[in-house]
Order: sequence, then C-alpha cells, then structure tokens
Amino acid sequence: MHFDFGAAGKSAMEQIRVPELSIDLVRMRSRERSQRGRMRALLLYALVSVSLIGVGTGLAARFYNGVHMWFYGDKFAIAVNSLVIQHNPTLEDLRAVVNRAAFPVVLPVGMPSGTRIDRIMYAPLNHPNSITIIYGNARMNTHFGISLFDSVAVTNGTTGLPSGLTSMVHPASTLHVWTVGKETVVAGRQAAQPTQIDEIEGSMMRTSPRASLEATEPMLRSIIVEGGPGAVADAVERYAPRGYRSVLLDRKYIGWIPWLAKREKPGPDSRMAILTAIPTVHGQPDYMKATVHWPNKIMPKLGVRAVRAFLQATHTGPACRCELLYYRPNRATFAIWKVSVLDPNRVAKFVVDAKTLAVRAER
Amino acid sequence: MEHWAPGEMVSAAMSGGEAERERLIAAIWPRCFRLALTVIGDRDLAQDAAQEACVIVHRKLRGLRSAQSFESWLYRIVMREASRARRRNRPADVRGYEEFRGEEPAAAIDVWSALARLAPELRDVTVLFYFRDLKSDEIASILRIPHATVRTRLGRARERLRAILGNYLDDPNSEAREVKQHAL
Repeated sequence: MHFDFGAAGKSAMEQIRVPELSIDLVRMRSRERSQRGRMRALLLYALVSVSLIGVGTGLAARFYNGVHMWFYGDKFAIAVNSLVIQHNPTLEDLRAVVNRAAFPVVLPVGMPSGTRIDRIMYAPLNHPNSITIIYGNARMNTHFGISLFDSVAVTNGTTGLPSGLTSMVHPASTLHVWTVGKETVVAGRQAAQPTQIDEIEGSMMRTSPRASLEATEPMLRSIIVEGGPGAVADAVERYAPRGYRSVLLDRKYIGWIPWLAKREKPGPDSRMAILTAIPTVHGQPDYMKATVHWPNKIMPKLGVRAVRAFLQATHTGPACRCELLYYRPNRATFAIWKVSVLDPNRVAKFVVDAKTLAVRAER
Repeated sequence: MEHWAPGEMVSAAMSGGEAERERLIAAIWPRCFRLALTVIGDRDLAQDAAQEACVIVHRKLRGLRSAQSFESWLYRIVMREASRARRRNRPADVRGYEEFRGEEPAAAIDVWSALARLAPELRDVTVLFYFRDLKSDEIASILRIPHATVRTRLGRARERLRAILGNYLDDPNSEAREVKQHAL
C-alpha cells in the first residue's frame, strides 16, 4: 500500500501535542534581551564618553597613571591607559574600591527607588582616581552613568592642553559637572533627566562618604551573580542563605563547567575584567584590542568538580532552563540549588560530598 | 505560503501595543512549536527553539517593514533557532523522534522514522517543501541558501525517502511545481 508522504506529514504535524506557552517567560526574556542590548550600548557610551578622547595611551602613560581629565574652554578631554570593569558588584566589591581610592569618595545618592548598580568601572586598579557607576532602573526602564574623579586628576581652565591632545577635544556642553569636597562628579547630559541630576547633586552635597556608602548598599547585589541582570537573580537574592559566599551561575557559566573541570581550572569571576595596554586608533581608545585579564576566582577547582558531578548526576546542561546557586556550607560539602528560570521560586536543593563527589538531593 | 496568522492580526500587532503582540504570539505558537519539533525531533529543544522565536517576534516585530514579509520572516526565525538548538546539542543528547513512536498512528510513525533518518539539511527542505507547501525559491530565501542547493537537497531527500519508505509516493504535483518554477 502506498501513502502520500506530504499528506501524511501534514497530518502527523497536526497531531503533535503542543505544550502551553508561557507568555510571561517570553515577555521576561524579551525585556532581558532588550536590556542587554541597551547595556551594551550604554557600556560603549560609558567607555567612549567618559573615557572619550582617550589620549594616545602611550602619551598618557608617560604623564599620568589611571585617568586624567582636562576642561579647556568649552571643551574637555580625558586620558585613560587602564580600566577595571566590574559587573553586578556586591557591597564588599564597592567597599574595596572606595577604601583604596585616591580620594574620599562620596557616592551618588538620591536615586529613584528601584535603582540598582549594574556595573562599576574604575582606574587605576590599586588606587583609583576615577570611578564610573552605571545604574539601571527596571521599573523606569532607564540606565545612566555617573563618573567620580579625584579633583587632582581634573585640570580646569587651562589655556592649553598637553601636546598631542589638541585634536581630541569634545564639547563640554554634553556634560553636567559639579564638585563635592575633593571629588569632581561628571554625568552625561543625555544619560539622565536634568531634574534627576539636580536631585542627585543636592543629595550628594548633604551627605558624607560613609553615609553615601550605606545609602548605596540596597542598590548592590547581596550574592555573586555570574551572568546578566535578570529576574532570577532578584528572586534568588531574597532566599539565598546568608553568611556564605553564594554564587549564582547562569546557563552560559553552566556550559563552561565541563570545560573547566576537564582542564582542572578554578571557576573565574567573569564579573571583573582588567583592561590594560589600551591602544589608540585614530585618536580613540580601542578597548576591543586592549589586553584583558580576569584576575579573580569564584570557586576552587574542587568546587568546579563538584558542580560537574552535580550536572552529570542530574543530567543538567546549558539547555536546562535553570540557573545554579552554589555555596560551601562547610568543608565536607558543597550545596547546589537548581533554580528554575520559569519560576525562580521553584528550587531543588542538592548536596555534593567534597571527598567522594557523591550527589544527593536535600529534603 | 501557508499563513501563520491572519494578516489583520499581524498588522494590529505591528502597530499596536503589547496586548496585540501577545495575541499574535499566542496564535503563532502552535505552528512554531510543531515546525521546530518536526525539524529537531526533540520536544525540549523544540520548545526552547520555538520560545526563542517568540521572544524575537516580541522584540523585533515593530521593526518589520511590512506585514506581508511576516510569513517568511517567521519561517526564517524558527528554522534558524531550530538549527541553533540542533547545533548546540550533540546528536547523542537528542532523543530523535523516539517519543512519537508510542502514540501516533502508523502513517505518522513512518513519517517520523523517515525524518529521523534524513540528514538535518535534507530534513529542513523536506519539511518545508512537503509539509508546509513552500516553493523551492521560498525555501532558498528562508534558509538563505542558493535555489540550486534547495533543488539538489530535495532530489537527494527524495532518493533517500524512496530507499527508506519503499512504498513512498511523492505528491504528483510537487516535481511539476518545481520544474515550472525553475523554468520561470
């Protein structure tokens, strides 16, 4: 007996049971993607506008360490020869940067409610004389950056710029600049609403370095989030156990684990990258060609092996529609929580024995 | 080309708000999923690929130049996401149509087992040509491959299907459709 392949195929397709579509998930992922696109543009904006007119870095390296800014008539120029970028900073991360800064740092305060710090950028690594903070507000769907400079690193009203800079100046009218103590604050006029900037400026005038750090804490992550900003991280922060170094691994990071385990490598902290030897192309810093270094680790080799053991035992892979919360409650075990991306409150808890790497579900 | 959703619904979603866009996504979802599953053969991967396609529609629909191009645009997205899902997962991880065997009528089992034995690139053109009635130039545009390649793949797929199914009967119009198109 013959059968018509096309007709049979169409009929077979129609008989396929279709699972329910989670429109909430589609909406969430769509917003996340759009935000990521905006973040990329914002990062570029922050790098290019704040570090704009990167002087020939060879020249800058000879004269200055870190960052220097010149205001020259109605124009400005900035030199940069290294940069540290830190995504999803925690309070410890920000405190470490503020404590070793070359100036008493008054952090921006008076932010609209719901604002979070998505990333910080600073230079140089050891004693930053410039810190740029990138804020995001999912409720208001806005992102903006504010840069804080050691006033010593800002030269005002010079009649001329160091040789080599004259061709790399930009209009100062694109910036909103004010000083707080020994700090010069710079915000891009296009990056935030003027009323918002006025509110921030007023609040910063009334606060102290310590109080501003305390006021900033709610805007920071309380756990280490390896991956982009997202609803999962917000939910996990609410129930992640306190007192441990908890790390949330997204699907991309989960995909790296077998590779890392095979090579017996510890888990790198992808949140922080150091860019050095930033070359200049046509008078602009080319960050893509800089030397990039990820100096920190978030889990030891044994931790990576424990996560791999968990992935193998539970048949979990990058396509799992889940993220993993990892922490070490004691020397003998690792705790790994499997968090559903569809419903971040749905958590399956597992324990991995540090010696045998045996995996068992936790009740 | 078979329609994913009524034209008015597409136009309304392009010019309207989130509610209209979500109504369109709910309407296209079953076909997105079925097409993804037919070319991938694994429910989880197909769900991921179809969902990803819906996310792209949600994000980028407004940037579409005209409602007329929606059909081919969506085919392109679903096929690309399906192909990515297949690439990301090794063949050993994919169950490959196995789960259909227990629940479908005999004819459908033949279809699934034949598809499972076709190479992915032959499967893609076969599904679009036979199951979605697309012309070979439309398939070429969707898969972004030369028209001649589509014809070659269809020819190879036919040979393979004859070998697999034995009692395989081609749609008598299909080859004529292709020849006519080629002549034009």
